[in-house]
Amino acid sequence: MLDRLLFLFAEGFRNLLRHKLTVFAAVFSVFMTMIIIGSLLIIGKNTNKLIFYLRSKYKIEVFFDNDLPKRDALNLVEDIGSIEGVRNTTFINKENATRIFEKQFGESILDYINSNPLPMSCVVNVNRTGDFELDIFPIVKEINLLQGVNNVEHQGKLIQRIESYHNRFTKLFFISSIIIIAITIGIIYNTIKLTIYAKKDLIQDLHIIGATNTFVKVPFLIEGVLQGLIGSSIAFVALSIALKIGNSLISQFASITIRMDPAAASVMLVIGVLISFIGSFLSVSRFLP
Amino acid sequence: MIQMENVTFSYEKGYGIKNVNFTIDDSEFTFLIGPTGSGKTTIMKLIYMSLFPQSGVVTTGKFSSDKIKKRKIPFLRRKIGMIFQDYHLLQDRNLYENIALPLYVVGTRHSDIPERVEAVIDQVGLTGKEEHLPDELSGGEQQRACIARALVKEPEIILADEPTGNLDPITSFELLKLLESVNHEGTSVLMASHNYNLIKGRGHRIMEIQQGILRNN
Repeated sequence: MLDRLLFLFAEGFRNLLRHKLTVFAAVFSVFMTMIIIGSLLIIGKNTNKLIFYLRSKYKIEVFFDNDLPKRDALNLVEDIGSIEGVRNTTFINKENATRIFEKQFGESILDYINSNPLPMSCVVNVNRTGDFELDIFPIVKEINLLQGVNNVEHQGKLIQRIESYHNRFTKLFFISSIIIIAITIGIIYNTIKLTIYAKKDLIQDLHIIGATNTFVKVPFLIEGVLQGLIGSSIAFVALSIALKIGNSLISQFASITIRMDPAAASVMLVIGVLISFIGSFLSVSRFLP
Repeated sequence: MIQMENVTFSYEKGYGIKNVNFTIDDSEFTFLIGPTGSGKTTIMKLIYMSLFPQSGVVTTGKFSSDKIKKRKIPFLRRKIGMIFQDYHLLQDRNLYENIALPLYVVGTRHSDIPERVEAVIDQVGLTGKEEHLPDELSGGEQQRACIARALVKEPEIILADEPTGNLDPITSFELLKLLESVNHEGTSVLMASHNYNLIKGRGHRIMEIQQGILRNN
């Protein structure tokens, strides 16, 4: 069994070496596909990180009416805390507001004005996991309806825009990956078809001397898988080098590092091999029934 | 044993065989003669079940055309050594690799393969030509290689379809003697030929087929 398996693997390797031009076309298309998918994966992963960061920093600031008694303000904070989607609230009284002002601007507002004009407020943290898009507008709407609320500040629109770009990118990534993968499967399919035509004599002879269908088919599948493995490995190496060069260039202007997730590397290899396997499997099933 | 019972097969274009009956016993050497297009190759193909009869039954060893499952056909063919007029050697593999191929197909242990290939190369008189590609061998040598490839898996039956068709008379005769020596060791041989001069007087059974009908069995 092992000997036969070794023979089939050797045949698969032989096929690779015998049909250099068609194999080059297949390996090159897997390489290009994996470069594109790999780049998209890296961009997607790094954009995700940014989105997660933004989501984790998400907060709503609620300013109360200036003449609102502290007791009412505390009641309001309690009411806000009970709104669905709110994780917790932090009450900021007038004194704390001046301290925050001083911290931010370096000077106390009381140095200029005799009475404290800063209103009481509260910081609202919303429930978030980082994994899902946040929609804070229902919360903001509900807070705005409360008596005694003067103003609600949040970066909802900006984040919504970023989220919408992110969503569009994810969809685009998904659709373009499927198109590219389909094209590559087509190329592998045709490469294996050409190999099958080129080896018609061998196939016929193998059948005559008693080879089972599996025995005839396996070398073609191995050839396809090897094409995928080679193409995606080269693409992985090329992307790693490109990232290294890119990061060293970026580091001269900004302190951002683009990273290739080890999981992304494995995904690249798996997708590459899978694409080739599907392409060769379809071809073998069609032309070696 | 090979047996055909009332076997009929016709191609779309009309040729084929009609109501053929015969039995070839184990270890028997049989000639199948007839002009080109008379149905000799069709009989061969029916025996190794590349074709199936439209009526009647073909039995090859323990396999019967009316009962065999498609996935079992390779196992039938492992019992048969095929020899063709046009050799069917793989042009991109040397003599050794061509002959070793059936052993990989039947699952022979890798370590046993060299010895068996060398033995059969010696048997057909091609020692020293192991590294030669088919087109570096003469017609007679290629046919010997073809016989070696058929013999290496130690078949119960040899089907030789016009094996001397491309060979000169002397080489043809040598080849026939080689097949006879294989037969002496117990392998049944069915050899199709249209060269009556080559086979007459050899003391073997002769079946004659004309226009798909077995005339003289």
